[in-house]
Amino acid sequence: MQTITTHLSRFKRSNRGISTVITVMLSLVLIVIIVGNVFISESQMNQADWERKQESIRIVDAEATTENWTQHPSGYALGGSTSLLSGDIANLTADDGSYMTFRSYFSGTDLSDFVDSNSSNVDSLPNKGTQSNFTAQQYGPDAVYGALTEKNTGSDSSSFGSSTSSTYTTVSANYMYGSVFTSPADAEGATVQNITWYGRGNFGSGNSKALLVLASTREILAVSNPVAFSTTAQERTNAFSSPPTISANTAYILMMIFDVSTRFYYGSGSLNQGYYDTSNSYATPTNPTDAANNNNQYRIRAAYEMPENYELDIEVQWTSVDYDETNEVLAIYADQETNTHSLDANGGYMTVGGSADWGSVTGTISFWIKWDAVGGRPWGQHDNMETRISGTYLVLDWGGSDTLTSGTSFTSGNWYFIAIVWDENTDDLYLYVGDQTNPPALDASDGAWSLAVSTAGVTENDFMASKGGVEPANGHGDDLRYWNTDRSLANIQSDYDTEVTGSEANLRSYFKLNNNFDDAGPNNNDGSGSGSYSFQADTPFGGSAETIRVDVWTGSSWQNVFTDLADGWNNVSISSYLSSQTFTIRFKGGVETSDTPQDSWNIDAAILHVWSNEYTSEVEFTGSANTENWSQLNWTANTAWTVGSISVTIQLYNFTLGGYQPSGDGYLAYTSSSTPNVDESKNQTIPADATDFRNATGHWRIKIRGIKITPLFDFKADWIEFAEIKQSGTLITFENDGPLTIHLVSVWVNNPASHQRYETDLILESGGTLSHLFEDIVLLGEEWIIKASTERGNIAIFSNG
Amino acid sequence: MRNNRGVTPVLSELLLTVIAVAAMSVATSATYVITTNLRENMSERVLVEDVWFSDSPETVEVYLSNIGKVDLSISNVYINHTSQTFDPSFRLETEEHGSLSITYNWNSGDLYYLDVVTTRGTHIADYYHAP
Repeated sequence: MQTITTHLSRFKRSNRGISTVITVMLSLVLIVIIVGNVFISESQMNQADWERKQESIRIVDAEATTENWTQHPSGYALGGSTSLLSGDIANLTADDGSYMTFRSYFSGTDLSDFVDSNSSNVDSLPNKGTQSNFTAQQYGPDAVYGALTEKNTGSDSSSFGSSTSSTYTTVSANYMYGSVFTSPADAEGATVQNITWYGRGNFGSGNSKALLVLASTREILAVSNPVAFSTTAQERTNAFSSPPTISANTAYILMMIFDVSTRFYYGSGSLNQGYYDTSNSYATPTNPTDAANNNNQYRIRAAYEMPENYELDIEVQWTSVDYDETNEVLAIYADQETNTHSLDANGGYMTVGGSADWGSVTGTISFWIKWDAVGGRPWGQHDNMETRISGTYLVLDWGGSDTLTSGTSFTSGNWYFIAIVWDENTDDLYLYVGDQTNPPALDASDGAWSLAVSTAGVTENDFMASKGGVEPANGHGDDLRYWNTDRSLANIQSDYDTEVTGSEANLRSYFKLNNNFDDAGPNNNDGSGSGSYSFQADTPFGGSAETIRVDVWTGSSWQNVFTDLADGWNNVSISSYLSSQTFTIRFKGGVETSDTPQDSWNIDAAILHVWSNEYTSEVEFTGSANTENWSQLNWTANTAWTVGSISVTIQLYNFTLGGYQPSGDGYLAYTSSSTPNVDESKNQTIPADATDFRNATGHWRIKIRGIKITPLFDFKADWIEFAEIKQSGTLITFENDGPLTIHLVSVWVNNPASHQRYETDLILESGGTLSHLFEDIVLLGEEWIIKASTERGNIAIFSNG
Repeated sequence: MRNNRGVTPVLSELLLTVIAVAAMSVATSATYVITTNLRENMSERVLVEDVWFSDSPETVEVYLSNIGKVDLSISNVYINHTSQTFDPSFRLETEEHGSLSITYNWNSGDLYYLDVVTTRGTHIADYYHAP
């Protein structure tokens, strides 16, 4: 201390260094000020932090302030063919059971789609048979049809046996040699036409017979005609005059027998394939029951001809099919012939009833006939009005004897169509002849026929005989017609191979001969039978006993839908098969193996009929509101339906989009109550873009549509209302629970779509409550949060959740 | 000039004064710099007024308010401790507020730890639920 005092005294006495001291002092003062400022700042921040902690602000309430309007429809417009049944627009103002009722209309589909093509081949198999007029299936039914006719897929020839050899056996006369072979799988019902063998005479020429022997019994089935041979080794063929019928996959012994010593060639065979009988007879071959075996496969083979087999397999196809309708039916109109029988006369005949006289001034008599043996008189009523066979020609005694002779030489076993046309006024007499494959054509005529049948008279009008049973024609007769006019050839050709109804103009008598002698014509001269006759299912056209199947293509296979087509419409649902725009069916014969009769079927129309029984009611209601800035729109529709489970769609018109709302706000789809006539109230709140649903003048539109696949129904509207809400601001109430006055500087309004900050400048005294209307704050949606920030940095939060 | 006595004391005095002034200037400046940084650090206050997980585009919008006594800038933003990109020019003067946009692919319902760091090293951090 003394040292310090000493130095200060010395310093005081000396003036040197005074400026230095001043400098240092000033600097120290500055430093103190600077440092002091730090402490002041710290103190201030501590004060601010303390005050922030003391601050307590709460938002105790927030509510939107709104304006509301409601309207009901002032007009309506009917959609489609909806009709107003009862009530008026005034009934829509309250849920009071007073309805405006509308009737629905048919809005379904009903399409008849004719078949498009007959060139498809979905199964990659060729068609079998012919289709005479496919176009006919694409129209009608109009009695114009296309005939589906079977094709003969049989009659092919083949053989079984051996064609090779390397050495020979010397076969003595009257020895029977051969080998066993199995007939092929396709030989069922085939006839063996001949047997070919290879050999030569051992010392000279000779004769051979071939024999077909059933291996299982060693029974000789057939012996061929004899064939001579020389000493030149070669193949020779022995034919059967009555070709035997064989079965498929059956063992037969093909054998030879000679009248001289013969070299019969063979190759290597299997064990016991060879058969030889050394105790037989060339003249009268007997069953080789005692034949022994060797291992030779003799060079011998049988040629067989497969039987006729008529098949039908024809595709037709639809394209661009409407395949999503409720009902989908394949409809085929078949014009099936009913010509099921013919008269089979064996000395017997038919007599037309009522002593019918067909000797008109002009006339046409036609019939089908198949002679068992050409002869007799097919038809006649008098010596001067009859037909008769002379030799193999048909002679007409028409007004006299030997008036006209056919150019056709008739044969037995074939169906012929014969038409006689005459006109006494023009002296014309024509004979037309056709058969099952050729339409009738002019066979003979006399343009100067000066005789008359109109005066000939009637002895007895007979068919398959003449004038009282004279010279019956044995065979089949069918479809006898008498017209009292001279039909043209074209007219005759139009119906010669199909049955007519009997009511055609100028057709007087018509005998179908389908198991009876009824006259289907207006003369009604029902006939009667005499002598030996019967009715047989052997007809010249139509009336097939065979069924015709119809199959549909499933994409990988055929599925049968008709086992046969009846006359007229044949309908079947094909919904389970119709799954694309292409639909294919095939016509298939009911019998496809060993089918010897050739059948045909007439198809008039083939249609896919698709439809749905849908009914619709559609009404648009219109109303007028205002052009305020709506923040929310609530609509309500109270309706009922006279049928349950209607598919209902309610749509508001969106004037911004320029169309009815397809989804979301302004769109509601539902199924009405399953109980009819139940009032259902549907409403929707549209919290955003509510003004999209009105136009510039405040008009709005709401459309209510009900649809159901059902019979007719009615729509009952009870109450329809539009209610708009406009927010005029938000009233927020703050509460200051703390000891300090609070300065609010910002308010946040958050919702899922936006976070919005609003500047504010509110002073809230300690312990005070303040309600403030923020006119620019609109609370949108159902979820929102309000936050308020104080100047000191505290935040109060309020939410509606 | 004839009498040279007394020149040396004057020079020495002058030199001493210069030295003193220089030394005190350095001391004063150092004190000012040091205390200024200290004062600014103490005076920095930031309030996160709002955080919005926006999905068009997918960003996190952080609304900041400068309630301190000094201007501030943001040096780093971390979400779940991973640095994120943001506008580096973002700056708030005193009593100023603004939105800091952070591009971030967030998942609805997830909880995120958001950490905003000022250039002075102040961390404003908290957990936020993405809606």
